Amino acid sequence: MFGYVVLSSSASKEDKRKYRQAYCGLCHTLKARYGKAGMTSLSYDMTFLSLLLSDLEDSPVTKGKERCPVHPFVEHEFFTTPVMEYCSDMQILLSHYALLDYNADEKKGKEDKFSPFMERIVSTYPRQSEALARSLSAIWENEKRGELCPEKNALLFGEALGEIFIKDSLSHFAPDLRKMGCGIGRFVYLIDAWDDRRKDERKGAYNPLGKDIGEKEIREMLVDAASCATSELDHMPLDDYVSIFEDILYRGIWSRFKAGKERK
Amino acid sequence: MNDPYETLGLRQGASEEEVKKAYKALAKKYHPDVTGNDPAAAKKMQEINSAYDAIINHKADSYSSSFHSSYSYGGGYRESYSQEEESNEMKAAASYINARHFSEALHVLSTVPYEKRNGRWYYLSAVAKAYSGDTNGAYSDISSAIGKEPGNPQYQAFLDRLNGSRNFYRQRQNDYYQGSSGGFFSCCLPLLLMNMFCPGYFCIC
Repeated sequence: MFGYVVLSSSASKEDKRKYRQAYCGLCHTLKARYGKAGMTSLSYDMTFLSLLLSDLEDSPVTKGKERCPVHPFVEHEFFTTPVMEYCSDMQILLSHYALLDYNADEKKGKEDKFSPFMERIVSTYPRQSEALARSLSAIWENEKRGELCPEKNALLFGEALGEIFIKDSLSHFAPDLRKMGCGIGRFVYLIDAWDDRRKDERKGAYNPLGKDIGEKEIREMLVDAASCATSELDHMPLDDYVSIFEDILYRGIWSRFKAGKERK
Repeated sequence: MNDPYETLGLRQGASEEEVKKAYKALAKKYHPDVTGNDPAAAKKMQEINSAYDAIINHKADSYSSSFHSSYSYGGGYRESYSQEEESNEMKAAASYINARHFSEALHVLSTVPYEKRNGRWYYLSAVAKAYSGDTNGAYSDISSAIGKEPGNPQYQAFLDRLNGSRNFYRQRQNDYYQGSSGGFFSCCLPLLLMNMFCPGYFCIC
């Protein structure tokens, strides 16, 4: 389910530079905290959250340059902020459940390289971990029953992501973050189901959209989720990366919807 | 109430960007991590939050899809409704909504038995759901509210606001798509490929 909350290729050069530096910064943080397993869990989604929370909290930026295992020959710039530690923890939490989901779906037994970290993550972040566990088990129950309830499942996933977006539950902007995370979570669940529907049909596997939802319907559902993700953007005191957030939420998140259409 | 600009240390009519910068600087200064849970600092922070909301929600009124402006958490509902007939649960739900505690509002609303759920119950539920990100639930509840009290201008205004939010998104999206190629920016291809072979992803590998 990762990989939808992306910057579009039409973003400005400056925004691409900042975004790439944040992406590499989160990768750096993941590697420092979780080693190689951490690095492979890196996602665009948590890069978005890193930038969002860094901007909201005015989190101090530390710049650096390095060669990494993925780019051993070319030195590249990155920046980190303290909130990336939180985002890297949330990345591991999400990746752990993603792997469980993958193993269940594909009936495989891939080793869960994140499980050694789970005890600490669950005890440090009970609110977020419980919300994700609760939502995913409800979604999996619905899937097992073959229930066609895309909006219901999307909301469950959105509610969990909403909790993950909130680092500090006492923040004045916690409700804005919850709504934004919920909108993004709903969007991601729906577009992922839309992307998978052909594959699922071929394999005779469950897809929450069923056969009745066509392009027009899914587009309406996605616009509703996206409008939910953006409606509080102006309310929050964001001023460092606003053009990046707008590019991602108005343009980037749709890029794979288009690609999916072309592949048909 | 003091002048909100003054509370943020700004001149009247400062730009939105100045307001946001000033807010963040003050929020850092009065953060409990810095002030060590000092009650005076907490009170000051509340004032800063209210001042910020007052300015930003007012600015938002003119262009945004945000819900904040249409029913300021303050008075919104009370104007058109006589509170005498209202149960404690409904009063509590309205207070929670005013304090932006939407999950708590939904929780207390869920304790009201079905037969006692009137138009206003559905309206409050729609508001709390919309703010929590459940717009589908909000649509369904506001439709029920209108069904129970057709012609209530407040319920209709809320429905318009919900629809407006989608249209606002579409309009902004159209602006963004002018001259756009539609692809996405790939930061790190080697890592992307590595991830494809070591799946840590939901379904997509």
